[in-house]
Amino acid sequence: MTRPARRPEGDPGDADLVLRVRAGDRGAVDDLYDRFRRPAFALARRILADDTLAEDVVQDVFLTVWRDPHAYDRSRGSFSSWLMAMVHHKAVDAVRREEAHRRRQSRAEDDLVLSAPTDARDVEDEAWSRVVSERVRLALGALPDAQREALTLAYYGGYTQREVAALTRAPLGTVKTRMLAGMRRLKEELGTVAGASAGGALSGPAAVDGGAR
Amino acid sequence: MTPPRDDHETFDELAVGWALHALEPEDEALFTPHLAACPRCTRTVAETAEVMAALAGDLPPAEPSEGLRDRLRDAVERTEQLPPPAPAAGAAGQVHAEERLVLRLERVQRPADGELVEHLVLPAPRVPGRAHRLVPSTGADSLRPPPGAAPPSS
Repeated sequence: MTRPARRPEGDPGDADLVLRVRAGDRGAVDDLYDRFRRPAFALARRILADDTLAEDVVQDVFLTVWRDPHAYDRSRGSFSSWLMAMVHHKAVDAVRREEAHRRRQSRAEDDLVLSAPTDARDVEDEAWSRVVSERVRLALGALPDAQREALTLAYYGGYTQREVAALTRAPLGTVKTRMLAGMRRLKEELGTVAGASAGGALSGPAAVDGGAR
Repeated sequence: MTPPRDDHETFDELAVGWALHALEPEDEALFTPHLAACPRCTRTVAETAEVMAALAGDLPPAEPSEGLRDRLRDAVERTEQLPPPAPAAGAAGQVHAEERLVLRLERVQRPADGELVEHLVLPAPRVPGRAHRLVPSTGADSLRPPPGAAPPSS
């Protein structure tokens, strides 16, 4: 079974699968799982640093899509980005529960190191993955350090804005501004790789005001 | 309903933080009702989610265990779907009315004497404001409580 390549604009195949899930077709969940299990698991594992917990999150996500397939609509952007946002959200919830009794400091230092631009890693030998991977690396590398740090701590590390502020010794308001500015810059750098949604604060004329860059 | 752009920069920032699930509770309490009424912020959240999904494309590839597929199948087999959302108002509702009215009978073991009894399960009511909940809950565990328990002001 080869994995269908994911395309930024929201694969028409995804829409079909969502419709089948809505129609009560349990097999469609299997097909969604085939399509998204690997990126979903990779993200959950990155945030949780634990394969068992990551699998629990992945199962929870696909079961949620089955249980409430109407939770997604196109105003949320592409189905794949919505699904991955749910993976992120649930993994962050899980890591916060898990680490409630632990100090997160040592992990935070790892996360800061990881926020630096990375060398080429093992990438899937699939052309699209390589393209995405390369574009992401370049886009992250183009960010000012402080913006990259704030975004990677929140996204890959699951830290709240106040935690990011403490870790980077910056005021909370500065962290908020850095996250918005960094996202604007990433969207611009990533182009179509970052999806087709538009008209929000990350795109359009609003992106040039306020000296956010 | 979008405030002037200068004032809206604060909400633009909160929208990005909200999509990243990184807001402090007080900011979330401020932003969640705003999001429900703000198309610009809805788009900002979608844009941010798409950038986030692209970032996930740079993670080392990973394959979950084969057992996960089976566990998911079992769980899907045992799980009923929620009915589609009630339409905003009016005649369009007829299409799904039948589905919405379906009640389920579940056999449960009565704790007192262990006897199997039938238990009527009502479809979950639609929650106002759910249209903007990024993550639907599968149970109490994953429920994101409405911050400050304040319903969206409308």
